[in-house]
Amino acid sequence: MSVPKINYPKEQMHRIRYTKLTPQQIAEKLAGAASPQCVTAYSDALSGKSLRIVTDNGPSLSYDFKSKSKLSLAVDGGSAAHAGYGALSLQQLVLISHLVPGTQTGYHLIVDLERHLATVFEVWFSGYTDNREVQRQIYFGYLKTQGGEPPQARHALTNRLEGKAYHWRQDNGIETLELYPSVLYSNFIELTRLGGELSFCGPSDYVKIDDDLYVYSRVECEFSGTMTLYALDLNALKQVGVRLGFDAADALEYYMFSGTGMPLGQIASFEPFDDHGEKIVLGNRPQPAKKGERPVYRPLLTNPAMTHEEVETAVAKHSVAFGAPSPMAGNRLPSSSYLAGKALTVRYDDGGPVLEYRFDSGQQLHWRAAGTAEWREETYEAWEPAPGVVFFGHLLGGSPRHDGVAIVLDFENALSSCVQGWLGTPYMANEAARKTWFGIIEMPGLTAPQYRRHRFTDELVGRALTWNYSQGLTSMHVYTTPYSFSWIIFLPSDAGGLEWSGPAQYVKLRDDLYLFNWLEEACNGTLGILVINLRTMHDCGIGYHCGKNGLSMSAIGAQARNAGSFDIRRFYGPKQA
Amino acid sequence: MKTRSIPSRRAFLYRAGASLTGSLAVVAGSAAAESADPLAAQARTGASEEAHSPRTLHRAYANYLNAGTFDLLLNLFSSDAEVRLHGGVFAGRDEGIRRLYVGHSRQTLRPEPVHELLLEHPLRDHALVLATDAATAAARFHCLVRSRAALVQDLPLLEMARQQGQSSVEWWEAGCFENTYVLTAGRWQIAELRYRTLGNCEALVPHARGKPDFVPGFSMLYPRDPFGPDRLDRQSA
Repeated sequence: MSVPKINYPKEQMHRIRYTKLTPQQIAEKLAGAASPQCVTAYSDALSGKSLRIVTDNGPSLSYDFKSKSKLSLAVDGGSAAHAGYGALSLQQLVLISHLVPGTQTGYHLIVDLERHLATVFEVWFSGYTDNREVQRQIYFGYLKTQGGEPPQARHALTNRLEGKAYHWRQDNGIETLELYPSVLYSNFIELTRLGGELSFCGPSDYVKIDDDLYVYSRVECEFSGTMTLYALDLNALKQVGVRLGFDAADALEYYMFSGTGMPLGQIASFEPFDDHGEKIVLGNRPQPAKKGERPVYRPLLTNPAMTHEEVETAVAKHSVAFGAPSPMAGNRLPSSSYLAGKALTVRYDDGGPVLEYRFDSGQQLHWRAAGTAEWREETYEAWEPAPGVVFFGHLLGGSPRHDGVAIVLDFENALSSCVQGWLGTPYMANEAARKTWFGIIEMPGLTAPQYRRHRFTDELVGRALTWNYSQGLTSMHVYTTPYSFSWIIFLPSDAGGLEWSGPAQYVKLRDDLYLFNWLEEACNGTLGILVINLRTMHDCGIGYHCGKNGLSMSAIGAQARNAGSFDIRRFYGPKQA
Repeated sequence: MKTRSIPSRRAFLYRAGASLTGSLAVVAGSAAAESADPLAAQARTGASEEAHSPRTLHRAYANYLNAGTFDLLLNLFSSDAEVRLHGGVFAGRDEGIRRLYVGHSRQTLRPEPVHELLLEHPLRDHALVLATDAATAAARFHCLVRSRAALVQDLPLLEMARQQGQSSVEWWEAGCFENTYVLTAGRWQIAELRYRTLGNCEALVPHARGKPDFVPGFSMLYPRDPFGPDRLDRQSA
């Protein structure tokens, strides 16, 4: 029996320690790359032809396509370089990709033979601290024709792809889900390469050719640094593209592909109706001026990993639960004093904790692990996210891992779910880890069920919700896979801006009520736990975070708007032959 | 106190100034006729030209506030002046007022470009009244204030926002100064500066993310707050 299988990677992308390749190592690896590989036969649309591409504020490129695999290029009238290339056609477009031998530079050209326009992606390695990260500069221009007037039109940046999503199947069998919820970033879920467990994000470019044809590119910044670029036809649902970079084994990936797509829906975009995204305005930040510059979220640059000793010192110095008001809780639910004066036990299945509680007031409680004698006092905060449901959290003082718990008490069903967080993973000492427990409430007057429990769900997967935490602080959550989600910060125009992803869990408490948690892994290490009420479109929640300023457990509260959904849940079930 | 109105009230439709503590503030009045009087030029002049009248004094206040030249701004106040702003009373030019402008504002403002906008806007009801001895005066100046409060918290979402140029919350607000002035040795000085917010102007900046209450008023007194006020003032909160 031949058993097809998914080759799940030993580590997901955010855990891979990609080699910091030197420029010399990159030069050696590029030296053997004459031209990109491709499963599909290359186009000979340009074979035997010459093109002169004039770009605005960029180089002039004079090409002689000697065959369908060899070209020569002269930049700005300089001496000609000879290179191998690949070309694939899509409607009136030809996508051409080549490297410049002896350099770490290459070009991806999108040539519009109908309108005599061109978009040039100049790409290069060794242009950033992490040399393997592909850099790019986009130039818009035209094809110079003898005696002809230069066209006035240009391809241009666009927001017309914002909110769309596609399933792509490349000619080499690679399948991905690609979501475009931002004008600066995109999500990609590698169904084939990584098994489709987590979504990841990369800075992205969106270029409009015409109403049907677009160009998309992304670079897997903070990961392998690989660039994926393709032209796509929204009506024919076809793509032609190129992938350039170094994989986890540091092998050069340089291939072109064609593919077929499947639209997965459209979520809302929020910029003014007459904003077509031709310019991306970055608030107070100066517009990118240096070649290749773009906004890139580099979480480990701004949140350096801490050592175990640094964590212990920081926690000893400052450890606080529900201290100063946070902008993340500007729109919080009112605190609940429902638990004040009550005593109960939560008992979790499968060897989970059994915790006894005495709630002294609306802010103070005593707890102890069942079977122990010592009661410990903690500050807590509670909310009532739905009738009969109380959500509260507190630190577990005295825990060597500095644990905290966020607990749902579902009094109508005598059920409880608990997200237990602690500090330290095999990767980062200040990174939170978590375990979700399901169990019951024991208290006088309640009889708990024997079998029924809250349970993990994928009901939210594909949905997008905006969350307004306080003035000036709104994000959008896209629930991208059953095990991860992404968050997006809006630009001043309210277009989607920077984006990042993290592992997540979704628990169904009852219809339209979910317990959701996420980990900002390989990032700032935060564990966030929310109860989301889709009827009120309001959440309440807890952030558990350790940084250089210490350990904190703080309130989160925001109001939601429905931003739509992607039809992606069907891609995440167990595979069958 | 007998008073008389200054007849050329229109003159006071020009620039007015305001500050919001904990925030950046840029000021615009209806200023079409003032193009020949660039603020930058005034900023370079000494105090003598500013002291011709409460009107020029107030324009100088706006000038220095916009330019962030707080040391020069202090010279506009009398030694025993008070500033009532954002829920706090700051007493004494060289103590409380210096603490407010040179300490608090300089500490909390960020070195970010703030683009001044001048708007044609029908600001009315300005008034200036002089006492009969012509040695004191009271004035009311309406103004539009573009405010920007830095987002300084250490939060992951805010860090992302900062990286894409959203390091602050901005809004426009309508404000009102109700000031008193004193003539000392032939020179007008501000004896008391009261600023209060009249509301935000959402129509002017439809995508403004903040409102005038974004920055909480002062709640802690000096010296517990090293830049705090001497007293609290609910009326200016």
